[in-house]
Amino acid sequence: MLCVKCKGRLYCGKSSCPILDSFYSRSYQIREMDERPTPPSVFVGRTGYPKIYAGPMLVLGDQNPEIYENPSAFSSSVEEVLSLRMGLARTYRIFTVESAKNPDRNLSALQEIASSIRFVDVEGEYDRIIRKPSLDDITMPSGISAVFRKVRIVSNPKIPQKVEKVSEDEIRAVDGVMNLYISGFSTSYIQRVFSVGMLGMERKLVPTRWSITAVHDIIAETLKKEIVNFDSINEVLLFSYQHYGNHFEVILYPSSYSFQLVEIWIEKSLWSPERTWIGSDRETAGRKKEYSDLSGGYYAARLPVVEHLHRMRRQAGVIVLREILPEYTAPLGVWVVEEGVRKAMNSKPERFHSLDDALNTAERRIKTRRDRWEKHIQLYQQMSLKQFL
Amino acid sequence: MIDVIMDGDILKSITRAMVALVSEARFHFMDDRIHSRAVDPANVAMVIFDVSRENLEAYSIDEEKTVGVDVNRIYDIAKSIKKNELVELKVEDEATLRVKFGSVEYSVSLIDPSAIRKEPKIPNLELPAKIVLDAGEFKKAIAAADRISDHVIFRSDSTGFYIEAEGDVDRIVFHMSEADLIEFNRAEARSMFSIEYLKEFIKVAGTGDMLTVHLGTNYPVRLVFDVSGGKARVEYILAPRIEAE
Repeated sequence: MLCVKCKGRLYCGKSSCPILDSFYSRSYQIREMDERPTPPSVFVGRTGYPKIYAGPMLVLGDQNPEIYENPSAFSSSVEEVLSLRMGLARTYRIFTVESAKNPDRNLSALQEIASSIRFVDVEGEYDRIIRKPSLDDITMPSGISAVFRKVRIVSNPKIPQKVEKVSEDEIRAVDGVMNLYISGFSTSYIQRVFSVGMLGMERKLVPTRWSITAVHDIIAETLKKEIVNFDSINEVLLFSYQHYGNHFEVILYPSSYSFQLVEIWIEKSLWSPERTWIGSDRETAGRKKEYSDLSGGYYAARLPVVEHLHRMRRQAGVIVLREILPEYTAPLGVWVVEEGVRKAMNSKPERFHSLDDALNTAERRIKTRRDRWEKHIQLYQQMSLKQFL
Repeated sequence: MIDVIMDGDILKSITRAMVALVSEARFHFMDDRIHSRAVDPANVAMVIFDVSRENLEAYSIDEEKTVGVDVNRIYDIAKSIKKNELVELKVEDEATLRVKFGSVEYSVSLIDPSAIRKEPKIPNLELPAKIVLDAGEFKKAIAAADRISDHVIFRSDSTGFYIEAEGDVDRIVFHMSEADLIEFNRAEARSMFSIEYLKEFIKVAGTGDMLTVHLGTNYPVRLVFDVSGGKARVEYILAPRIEAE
C-alpha cells in the first residue's frame, strides 16, 4: 500500500501523482502587473533546498481575503474548501534559506506579510504562470502559481509588537515559538513567522511543510515536560468529532503520559483507493526522536490533546483513533487533523469506568470492524518510579 | 579543591551512563567515592553511578563537595580519550572543571548544582529474582527485540531467564538457562519494560562486563552494570509498563 505512505511524494517513480493530478484549478488569472491582497499567507517551498522558492500567496478569488487562511470560516465540504483555496495563487522567486540572516527587500516584505494579523495588499510584477495546483498532505491546497520579479507592500500590515520583540530577541527558535504560543498566537500564525526565518539565533527560511510540523512538535514536547509532573486522571474520558470525512475518537485513561494514534484509511479514501490501510505510532513521555511513520498528521493530532492535558493539569494515557472516510476526496492539509482533534477536545466528554467501555462506545461510531484496528492499540500504561516510593 | 586521576574509560562510562537519561547532573565527590544519580524528566527511569576511591589512580579532596556537570559536554570530551589513557579532573574554583588527558586540557564551565533538577529518592524495592549474566548477551537480546517491538517482557522461573518481544508478525524469545547464567536464584518474576529506555542503558556496557538484574512482577527492574573492568558501578532503575484496565 504505497500511496498512503507516500502521499504525493512520488515513491511510485511516476513523474506526477495520479491522485493529486485529478484536481485541476479553475481559470483564475494574474496579470503581469497586479495588485492583490494576501490573507496574509506565505509559501516557502522545499524543492531545491537550500535554494528554495518562496513568496506571498495572493487572493485571486472575490471573497474577503482573510477567509482564505482561516479554517474556522471554511465551509464544511471538502469540495468547497478546495474551490475556495484554488482562488489563492502562490507567487515565488528563489531564495537561499540563509538569506534570512540578512533579508533583502523582497524577503523583508515577505516577513512583514507573514507577521501581519490582517490582510495586506501586495503589488508585484509576475511572469511564468503555472496552472498546476498544489495539493499536499501537510500544507493547505492552493491554485495557480507565478514567479514574481519583485513585490511591494501597498497597505499597512498590522504587526503585533510582541512579535517584533520576540523576533528581535537573541533567543533560540524553540523559545521564540513558546514565547509566542504562551502569548496566545495561533499555531498557524507561529508556523508562518517560523517559516520566513523570523525566529531563532540561526535565521533560516523553513519550508512551510516542515515549519508546520516543527511548530506542532516544539509546543507539544515543551508542554509534555510539565505534564509528566501532574497527577493522572482517575476516570476514562472519550471525546469525539468528525469533519471533512475525518472521524476522531480520543480516549484518555488513567496512566502516566503516553500517546498513540491509529489511522484507518478506509478503502476508497484519498490515499488508499484499493483497500483499507491501518497504521499506528506511539510514544511515551520521553522526547519522540524518530519522525513518525504517520508523518505530519501524528504531530497535528498530538498537540491539541497535550494542550488539553496541560490545561487540566493532569496526565493520562491517550489513544486517538482517526478514521478517514471516502468523503475526504482531496488533501486539505494537517490543519484538518489539528482542528478536528481540538474540536473533539473542546466537546463534552463521555465518562466511563473502564477503557473497554470507552472502546465499546467508540467502536459504534467507527465504520471499520474493531478486530481490524484493535490490534494496533497497545493497552498498557507506563508506570512512574514515584508510584513505588 | 578536587583533584582526581582515573582511567579514561571510567569517565567515559559514567558520563555515558548519565546521558542516557539527563543532560546535566550533580556529581558528589565524597570521602570514599564519587557518586551521582538522576531521574529522567518523565520519572520513569533513574541512573546511579558509584566509583569507589580505591578504583581511582589518585583522589584528593579538601572536603566533600558537590558540583553541577554538563554531562553531555563531558561525555563528548571523554569520547576522544584513548584506551588505557589516564584522565585528570580538577576543580579549583566553583566555576570550572578541568579535564586533562594526553596533551590536551579542556576547561568546562560548571553548573550551579541548585539549578539542576532535584535528585530522586531511591525507591526501596523488594525484587525476588536475581539474575547475573554477561552484559553483551543482554545487549544482543535488547537490540534484536528493538527491531520488532517497543517493549519487552523480562521473565524468570525455575527454567531460566527469558526476554520476550512480540511484533506485528514475529516474535523473539531469548532464553538463558541456569547453566548459561553466572548466578541465578530461580525465583519467579515477570514485568514489561519500554525498549526506548533499555536501548539507551545498554550502551554503557559491552561484552565481558557483568550485569545483575533484579526483577519482580509488575515492579521496577534494577539493572546493575559493572563497567570499566569492574572499576565503576552503574545502576539503572526502570519503572514497568502494566496492562491498562
